Parts: sequence; structure tokens; C-alpha cells
Amino acid sequence: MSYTIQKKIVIFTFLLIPISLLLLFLIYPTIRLFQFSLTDWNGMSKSFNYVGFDNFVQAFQTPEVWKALSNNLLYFIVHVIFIPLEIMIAVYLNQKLRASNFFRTIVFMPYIINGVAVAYIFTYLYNPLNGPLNELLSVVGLESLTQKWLSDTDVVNYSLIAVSLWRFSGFHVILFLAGLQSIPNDLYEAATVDGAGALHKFRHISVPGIILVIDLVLFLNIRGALQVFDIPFLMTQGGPGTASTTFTVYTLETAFKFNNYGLASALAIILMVIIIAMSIVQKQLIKVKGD
Amino acid sequence: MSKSAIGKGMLVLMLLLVSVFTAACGNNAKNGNTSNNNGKTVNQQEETPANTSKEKVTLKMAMWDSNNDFIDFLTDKVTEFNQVNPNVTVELESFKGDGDYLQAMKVRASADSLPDIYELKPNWLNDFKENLTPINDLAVTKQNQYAATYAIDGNIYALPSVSFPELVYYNKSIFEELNLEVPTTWPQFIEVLQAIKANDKYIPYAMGGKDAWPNYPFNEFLPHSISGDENYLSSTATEDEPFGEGTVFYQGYSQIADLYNADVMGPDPLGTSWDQATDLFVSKQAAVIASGLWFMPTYSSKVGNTDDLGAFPMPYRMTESETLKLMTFTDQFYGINSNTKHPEEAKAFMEWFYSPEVYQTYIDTAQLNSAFEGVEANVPWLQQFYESNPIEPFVYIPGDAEYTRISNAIQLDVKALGQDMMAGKKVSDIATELNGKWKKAKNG
Repeated sequence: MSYTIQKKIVIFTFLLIPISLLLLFLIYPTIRLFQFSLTDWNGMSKSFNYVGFDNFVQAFQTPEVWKALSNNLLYFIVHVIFIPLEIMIAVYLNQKLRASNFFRTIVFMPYIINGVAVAYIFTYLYNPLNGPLNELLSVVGLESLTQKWLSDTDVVNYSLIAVSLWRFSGFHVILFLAGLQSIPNDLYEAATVDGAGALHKFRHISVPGIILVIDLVLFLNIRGALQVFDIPFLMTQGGPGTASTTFTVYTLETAFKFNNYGLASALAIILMVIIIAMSIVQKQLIKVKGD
Repeated sequence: MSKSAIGKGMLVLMLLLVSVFTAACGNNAKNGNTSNNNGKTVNQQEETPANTSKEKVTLKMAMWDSNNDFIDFLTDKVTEFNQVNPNVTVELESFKGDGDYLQAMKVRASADSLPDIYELKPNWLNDFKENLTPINDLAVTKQNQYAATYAIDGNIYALPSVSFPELVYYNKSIFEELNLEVPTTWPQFIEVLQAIKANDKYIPYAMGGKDAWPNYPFNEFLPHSISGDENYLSSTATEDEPFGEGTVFYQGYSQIADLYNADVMGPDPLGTSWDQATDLFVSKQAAVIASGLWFMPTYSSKVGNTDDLGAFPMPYRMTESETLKLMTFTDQFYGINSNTKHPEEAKAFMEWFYSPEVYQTYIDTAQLNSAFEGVEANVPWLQQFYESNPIEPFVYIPGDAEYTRISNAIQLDVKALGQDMMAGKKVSDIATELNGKWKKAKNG
């Protein structure tokens, strides 16, 4: 066997496993997903009919889908509003604070905890019967602020978003912190010599320095906000009624509760398209700002 | 890198690859389903080649129950079939909740790997009928009091194991303390709850609204009951607009709205889970709760006795001139997988499972009513209830295939509607929305 042939065989065999796994677990299911989205399959029966793009038409004509998407949008907006705050915290943690390592650990902690545990912790905190949150508000004399956190249709989404913030903000802070630590210190020193204030340094050195991280966090945010599932599913099952149903909760119910695999597949594809489209738009915006 | 090194490396890699693939194939060769929910590993019975006169067969059976003791009982019980039929071993796979169970069974149905015998709820029969064998010719089918009621196109696909009344439970001591009479009409029912509320000591009705399903005695059963037609759900599938003003649904939901708007379910019924609601009732912080007879074992295990537990039929009727009906639910249906490799053994097992002596232990453990002629349940509390409440039973029959089709298409979930109503949504708005969707889906 010549050396080049041997080399080719090695390369081929090394690539065989990952590529076959990719084909089996990603490409094939995706192709099947596209196939099911064009059918009326109920998820159980042995036969199905092709119905063209009816599922996609139906998805866009269903008010509940838009309601669910608007709930997702709320997660997205609130998370975006909090990004500047997360950067601020990262900047503070980046300085020579006493026990900054301890604070970094604390900030990162919520992200490590299992999502199911988080949901149960907050379900307990929001509990209407002797729940700690309402009890605390009563004790400090803020009785008027007590809410039906998970059962008032106007409040429930904000209660759930608070959980989402608590869980993911720390992770974002750590990402920003890593970005800030990669900025060479002499840039700041040079700016100090030129007489730049703290705000100027932040505006012209820190932010451009971590623009890639901001881009990443924004992408994670789009993806996370559109796919948010475990918090509403575990804490309210999308209730009361459909008040806190998100797009993925709705998709899951369509497939498993109402036996409409075709429509659920179409919804999954729509979600994929939305994420890709929003990421492209955001890339363009960042480019304009970054250049 | 020298050539020989590359050659050696390749040899090692090839060996690795071969071992990985053989391992993977080996795993595929074993039938899946190797562990059940309790984490017990199910031993795979190798099928012996047909050189013996009778081959050894393993039947798989699946069920769910919220009560661990009952699961333990049934797991042991099915193994006894081996004494009757030494060639057949029955293995039980159990789930704790019907939601998880249903999802698992649907996935398996699509993959053609359902267990040989599996449990069903009456409203799932339509969905699973392709995956069930008709069992009209079994001897035990003829003994079953309700099976024929649930036949689809003349075929009986599964046998119900139990029937039980849907009840309103109350703490007798609270009713005595406040001098309250058991209500027999809907307005009286609301009055009693308002009287408890006015006293300000107890929560009148314990509603686990957070879980959605606990409102089924109202949002699912009330229109059905006041229609007077056991097949009410199927008949709505023949109408274009079965929800508007003047319909049974509208009348029923207006009654429910009167109850929800009376504000007699504690400070936050929608924030309270079923477990919390039962705790409120058991600890006498709440006076009244509604559920099926299956709540009894939960109550007894928490309180230790049933001395203070009273019950009455949910008074859906508006006036005393109408007949008072007792909503009766049949449940725990068992059917045989249409793709089973051992249909004869599965049928023999069903005959044994529902034979009087085996079945007697089943209902005595479940503490529910018998669904078979000639077998009576030993549940003293229930016998007493029937003696003091001679009421005609009203059997809950789920909608037919057409009803299932339309309600799935419009994603009708009456329990979610109940949550919406508790959150303040008006019946007229619900009816208008439903009519619009229903008409479109029915004729679409």
C-alpha cells in the first residue's frame, strides 16, 4: 500500500464515525421532519396523507401560535434589556475586587443548577399558600405588592421571565468577563495617559473589545428566548389556560396531546427558520456597528 | 511519521472500528425495552427453538397507577399466571402517571413496539384502535358489564376493569358545626359554599386549579351530565355550532361560571396544586372537594380512618324536579396489541386475569366497583353510600372518532377553559371562539 493511499484510508476511517453519526442523528431526522410537515400524520397510525403546505398555512392562521410567539418575544425583550446591566456587572467583577473569585462563583451558580430543580425552587417561592415571597413582602409592610405570581394571567409571564433571568444572567456575565479579560491592559493605560475617563474607556475600549461576545450572547438570547421550554412547562404547564404557553410548549402539546404530528413538525421548521433569519439580521446589525 | 507506524495505527483503528460496530449491532439484536420505570432490569427470555413441544413465551404488559401499593400488588399478581401456564411469563411495566404513560405508548405505537397487553383510558380507545385486537369472542368479554358500551364499529377492543362514582366529599364535622344540609341542586350547592365562606373559618371548596385537571367535575362532566345523554360528546360532532347560547354547553358553562364567580375556592384557586388542595381538605382547612372514588385510599392513608368523611353526588341539576344523576366513570381498560407475536397466550392471560377469583383480588386492592357480573367489590364505605343514595348511574362515554378528530384539530382542552374561566374569561367569549373553530374544522 502506498503512503498516500494509507493516508487517505486513515483520513476516511477517522471521518467515518462522526459523519455517520451526524447523518444518523441529525440529517436523517431533519429530512423526516420536513417529510412529516407535509403530511397529516397523527404520530401513531401506520399511514398518512400528504397535504402539501396546509400545516404551514394553518400554523400562521392559528391565533394561539401568535400568542405563544408573543410570549417568547417578551422573554427576548426583557433579556436584551438586561444585557447592559450584565456587562456592567462583568466590568465590576473584572476589577481588583476583594473576593472577586467568590463573587464570580456566586454569579455563575444559578446556571449550573439543573433546570428542573430551579423550576421547583421558584414554584415554592411563588406559592400562594404561605409562599416565602408573599410572606416576605407582608413582613416588610409591602402587603400591597403581593401578587398571584403564577395564577394572574397578567403577571405570570413576568414571574417566569424573572426565573429565566436569574438562571441565565450569570452565565452571560461570565462570558462578558472572559471577553473583558482578553483586552490588553496597555490599551487602558494608553487611554489613561490621553486623559480618558472611565465612561470613555468603557465606550471605546471595553465594548468594541467584547463585541464578539455581545454577538454571541445576543445569538444565545434569540435561540434561548425562542426555545424557552422547561421553565413554563414545569412551573405552569403553559397555564392558566394558555397564558404562559411558549412556542415549544405549544408544539409539544400539538404533537403529543392533540395527536397532530404534521402540524407540530411544521411548527418546528418555522422555529428553525425564525432563528436563522433573526441571527442573520442581528449579524448585519453588529457588522454595521462594529465596522 | 514512518510508514510502519501508520500501518500499525491503521490496524489498531480497524480493530477499534470493528469492535464498535459489532457492539452496536449486538445491542440492536437484543429487543429494546430492557428496563422499566422502577429501574428494575427485565430479564430477556431467550426464545428456545421449536424443538420442544411448547416454546417459552414472555408477555409484556404495561399499566400506570398513582398508587405504589397497587403497582406492587399487580406486579406480583401477573407472575402467578406462570403457575397456570408454565410456558408463559408475564412481565409488568408500570408508570406513575397517565400523562407519561400515554406519551410513551404513542411513541411505541409509531415504532410498532407496544407491549402485548396494555392499559387504556376510555377516551384513548379511538386513537389506539388500529393497535388493538378485537376481543369480542373472549368468554370474559361477555361477563363485562360495560365493554359493549365502548365498542367501536361493533368491535370490543378493551375491557374496563373498574367502575366508580364521581363524588363530592365533605368534612362532616364542618357541616355539623355550621348547621349545613347536603345540597341536592346546583343553586343549593353554591349557597352551602357561600355559607361556609361567610363564616370565614374554612376555605369552602379546595380547588387544585394550578394543575388544570382537577376542574374536570365541572368543565368536563357538567355539560355532559345536564344533557341527559350519555353519548352527548359524539352528538356534538354532528352539529356545526354546539357551543352557542341556548345549547347544553352554554347552559352548563354558565352554571360553572356562577360557581367560579362566587369566589368560594379560597384566596388563589389557580395557584393551588391538587396536592395542596387535598392537604387543605384532609387537614380540615377546606370543607369540600370533588373527585372520583379513587381519592378514598389517599384520604384514608393520610387521616387513618374515614369517620369524618361524607360524600354526596355532585348536584348538577338546577331544580329538584329533575332527576339527580350520579356520574359514573369506567376505567383501567386492558386490551391486546394487534401486532402481538403471541395472540393466543395473550387471550389466555386475559381469560385468567378476569376470572372471578383473580379479579376479586384486583378490585379489592383497587377499592373500586366491579365491572364484571357476578363479582362484588368489598368496599363497605361505598356500599353504605349506595344504600343511602339510591341514584341512577350516568355512565361517562367519551366522544367517537369524529368528535376526537374535531376536538384535536381545534385543540379543545376543556380543563384549560376552566382555568381561563377562573382567570375571568366570559362564557360568551369562549362559546363564540369555539363555535368558529369547530365549524371550520368540522367542514374543513
